Amino acid sequence: MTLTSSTIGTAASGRTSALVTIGVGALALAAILAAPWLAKPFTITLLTEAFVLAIWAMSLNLLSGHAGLLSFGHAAGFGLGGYAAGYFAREVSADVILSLLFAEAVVFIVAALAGAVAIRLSGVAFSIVSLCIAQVLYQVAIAWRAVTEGMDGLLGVPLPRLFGATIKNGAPFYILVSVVMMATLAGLALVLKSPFGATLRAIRTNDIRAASIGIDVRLHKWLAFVISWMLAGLAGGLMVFLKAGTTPMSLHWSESGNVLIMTIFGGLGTIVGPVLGAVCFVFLHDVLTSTLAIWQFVFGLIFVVVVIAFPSGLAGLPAQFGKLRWRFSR
Amino acid sequence: MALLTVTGLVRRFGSLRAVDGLVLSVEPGQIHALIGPNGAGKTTAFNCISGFLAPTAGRIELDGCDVTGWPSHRLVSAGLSRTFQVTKVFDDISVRENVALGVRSRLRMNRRFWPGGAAVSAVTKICDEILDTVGLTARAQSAASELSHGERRVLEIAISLSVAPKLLMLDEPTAGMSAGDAGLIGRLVRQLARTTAVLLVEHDIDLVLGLSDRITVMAQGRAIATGTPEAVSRDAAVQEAYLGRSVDR
Repeated sequence: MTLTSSTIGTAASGRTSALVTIGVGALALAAILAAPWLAKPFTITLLTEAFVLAIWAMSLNLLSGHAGLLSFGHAAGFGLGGYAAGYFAREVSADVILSLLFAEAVVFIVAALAGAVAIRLSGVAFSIVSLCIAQVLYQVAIAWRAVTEGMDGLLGVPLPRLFGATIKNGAPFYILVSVVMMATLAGLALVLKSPFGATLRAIRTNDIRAASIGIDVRLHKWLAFVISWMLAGLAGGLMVFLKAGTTPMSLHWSESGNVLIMTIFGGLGTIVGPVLGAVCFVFLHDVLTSTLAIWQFVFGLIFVVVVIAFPSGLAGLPAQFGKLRWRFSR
Repeated sequence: MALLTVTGLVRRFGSLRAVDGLVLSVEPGQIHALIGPNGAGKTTAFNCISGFLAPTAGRIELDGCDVTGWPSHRLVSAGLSRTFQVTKVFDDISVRENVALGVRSRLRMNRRFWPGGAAVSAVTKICDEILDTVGLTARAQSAASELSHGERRVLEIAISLSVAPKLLMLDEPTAGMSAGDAGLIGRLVRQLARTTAVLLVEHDIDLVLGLSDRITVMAQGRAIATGTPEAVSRDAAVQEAYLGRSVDR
């Protein structure tokens, strides 16, 4: 449903909207890269966290927004990637590329197996099984003390190194995360506009019809599952460097809930929505927790209002206002 | 040689044998109708042949190749595609994009991870040819959800055509249509039959008699008669199946 308005909008205004997209994108890019010189260090820390979460939310959007597999356990790939990257950085090498590659390899193996089971289901059954998978990993993180150090968590992860140089927290790590986030956004934007993206949405709309025109539904769902988990693992790996460690809480169901909230808030099934959702989530969380004891209540209210008033999330706002203007001008 | 050969097809649901030893063969270039009273097992047979139900027993050959138990997406690459009695089009995208999904599937482009490129215009060209064939050119840009019921039934056929089938299976193509629109579908099916064989399940008997080259009549899971429309409509077993046993025999 979220795609209907944006697709028609694009068809109608074509080149103008492409120019607007490029303009807004270039401005955002400049602002993101200039932020360390403009904003306070604390804001930069918040932005770094928001961009890491944005990668995670984008990965959920691929699986739940476009492939139509609503995951209640999306902490799984995130937490797993965090543990793998953190373990590698502590025990082998703090090289950020090697650590993240190791994390991706681990996440790939687990996602390939978990996905092969989970994608046989759809609808609520898939949601529940995805939740179960995440809870299993959560229990493993608590129980496998030799590797995970149990409830204490994996602490003392060193600062990341890139080509031999240490990347300090603050601006340098922020730039690294921004580049990875924007590369992910650009890559996903292409993939979601590609035949593969269209195929995923066809499966989401009607999997029986998709199968009847030769689309291997299970294969495509599995691919979406694995790619989604690996992007979540990338986010988890970056988060473990940002926080210098991780705990079993990174695999907890409440984290799966948070990423789902960010993604829906920003716009499930859109492209840029999850980034907006993650940034709003982090900054709203910061403002509300520092002023209110009942921040979750207030955030919940805001979430409900947004979901009811703007079904396609923050990313759907321009299209929605466009439609309003069009209605008034008639 | 027959394009589709079904022998001894059985599909059980618990103790019910919905299809019970069906024998059927469809020749290339023909319109072959599968008819029968309600509960005769037409839809179950249709689902087995098109890969949406696994047969309990029997053998299905397509173009000389044993395809028994193949899933639907594999059958498509073997040359078989089907439509649905309850319209299943992709509502949230344009008419042309509906057809493009199948064209890309046939050209094995489903797993291209980047947009654009030379192949896109080739796909668009094939889509427009298909839309021209079925008469939906004017609606190419419309969202599928904006079409009338009749247009959606035509799009349903266009989507199935997009994979260039050797055998096109139509599940009640005129379901819910007015007599005028049904005639339109009839002419379209006749036109399509020049390039592809058609296996048709249809309740509109007049349409079936006027359109089909051969008719197979099913009752209680079996074929009770096969032949030309004239032969089948004179067949005593068929009359009995449709009208019940006559009292004053």
